Amino acid sequence: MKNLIKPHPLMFFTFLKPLLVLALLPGVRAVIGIFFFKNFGGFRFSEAVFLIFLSVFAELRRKSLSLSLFDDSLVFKKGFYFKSEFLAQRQKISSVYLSQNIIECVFSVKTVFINVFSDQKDGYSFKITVKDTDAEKIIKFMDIGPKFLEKRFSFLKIAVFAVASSSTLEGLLIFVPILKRTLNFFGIGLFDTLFKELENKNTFTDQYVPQAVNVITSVLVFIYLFGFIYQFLKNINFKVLKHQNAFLLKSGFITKRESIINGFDIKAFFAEQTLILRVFKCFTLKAAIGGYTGRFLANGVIFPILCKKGLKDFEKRFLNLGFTKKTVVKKQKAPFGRFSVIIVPLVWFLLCFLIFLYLFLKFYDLRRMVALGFIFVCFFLCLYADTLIYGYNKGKISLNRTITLLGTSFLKIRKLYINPENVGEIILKENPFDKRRGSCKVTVTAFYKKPSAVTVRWINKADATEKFYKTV
Amino acid sequence: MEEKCFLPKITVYLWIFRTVLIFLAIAFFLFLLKLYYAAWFSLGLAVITVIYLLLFFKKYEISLLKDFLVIRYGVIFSVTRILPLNKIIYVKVLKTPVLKAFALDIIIIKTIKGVLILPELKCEESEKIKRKIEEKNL
Repeated sequence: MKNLIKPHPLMFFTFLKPLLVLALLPGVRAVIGIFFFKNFGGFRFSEAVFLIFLSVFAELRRKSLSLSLFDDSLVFKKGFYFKSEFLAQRQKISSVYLSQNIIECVFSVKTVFINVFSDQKDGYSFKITVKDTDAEKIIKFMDIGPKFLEKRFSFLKIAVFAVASSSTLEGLLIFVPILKRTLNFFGIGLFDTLFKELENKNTFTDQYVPQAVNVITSVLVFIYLFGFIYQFLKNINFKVLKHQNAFLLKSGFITKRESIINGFDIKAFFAEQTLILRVFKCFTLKAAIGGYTGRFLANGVIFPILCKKGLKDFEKRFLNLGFTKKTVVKKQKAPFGRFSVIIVPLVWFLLCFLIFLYLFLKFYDLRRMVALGFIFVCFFLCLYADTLIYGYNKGKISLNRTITLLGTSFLKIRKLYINPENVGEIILKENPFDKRRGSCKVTVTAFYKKPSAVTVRWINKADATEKFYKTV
Repeated sequence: MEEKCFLPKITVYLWIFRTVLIFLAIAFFLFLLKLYYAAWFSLGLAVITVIYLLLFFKKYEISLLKDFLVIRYGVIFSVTRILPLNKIIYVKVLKTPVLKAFALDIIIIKTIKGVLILPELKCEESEKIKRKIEEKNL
């Protein structure tokens, strides 16, 4: 049975958008014409012709697209001059991502991204804007089987996830240019207003931090807030539906998102605990998906927030772990207990202490700020030491039908669940002290398009090598 | 069954020659610019690098197991990389006119985490590694 899906007329704008960059050239020509030759007519005519040309080009590109769904394969055709056809088996589709923004919602249209897995080499990904009914057909084609688990995440949990996962950089990249342009449109300078506002302040912090640092910190906090709002709106109404053959994820408020992740293409699961999540004793569960996932799949997040009990429940339901003495890799004891573990942060502490002492004595006017900086550095070193101690006490490698690694990555705690056939690379690192003790630091990389690794310290090297050779 | 691939002595000499040549060129220019301290420092660095290279290549070990390629290296910090042979994405063999003269090959292995470049190996040894990876990937 064949189902032919044609793109919706709204997709015309998707093709027109990148071409509009080309309209810059006639624009420049127009400005020159107006200012130097006082010639208005030429500008309008040339721009109109150019825009018509771009529109025809975009429409031809839209018209050339088609997606045909067969019983267990799909064919994607594109190109009006250079025609190309892409055929993929259903089993090779690693994920399908559907999104719907406000305009698309009005027209009952969805944008569908289909990612195809092709044995770790270049995958293939394409997108098409289709009617809601056609999008349903694509979901049906995926044959995800009956649903047997549904989990909805409350606003509070999503807020915690947004606090933990949003970053200042994200806020900086997404919102600041938009906000700046919007305010400029109304004749308001964003940064001027901010600086003026901050200059007027005379707060308690001003006594410790000079005005410039105060302004930078406030701007960073302000940007972080944008990142938080973006993450919150992106993940609000997060719902996980576990079907027989796939995970179906739904989220979003303004732009609605839907992802179907093929269960066969999940190469590994990661449970991650950032510093903020450590306070709430929660994890974020992510999936490492084979093939091309690109930017369309919200970082493979399957469960934004999972408590310890929830994680254990997930392990029981979906993974075959079964810890026994035989399968757990032996750990090496540190000669001076926890003191040996925190030697690296201690060395850093000493170094920082000397640097800050020098700065304290050298810059008389900035003494309070230097002292505050030293307190901040000490706080981070304490957190680093705590993470290392956690890694020493709880870090574990278990080699079974599913390999489980519990380790750390700088200030994060990570747990990796991976099948032996999906292990990409194992790296054992030893420093001079490790060589004496026979211990090492093990890093296991998951074998999928975007590699991700977990490191476990204080592992017995001989035992780890022997067990990895047997299992992987 | 473990098959070991040994680095030929010529590889070590080649690397020492390259390093010394670079440092000598830098030192020469520094002498011309009358920066004598910097020039002597550069020569000192050359000596340290030669010693490091000797130790590095002494510790460099490539082992071919039934299903794995194991590479051990590192002077102060030792690193053991265990690569399952069927997870290697591709292997490239590089030959330059100089290497051809000494019957040597450079092997470039694309792993999931990045690219691993093995130092110059005898042609037979590189062929052995290539064949083994091919066998496992077919």
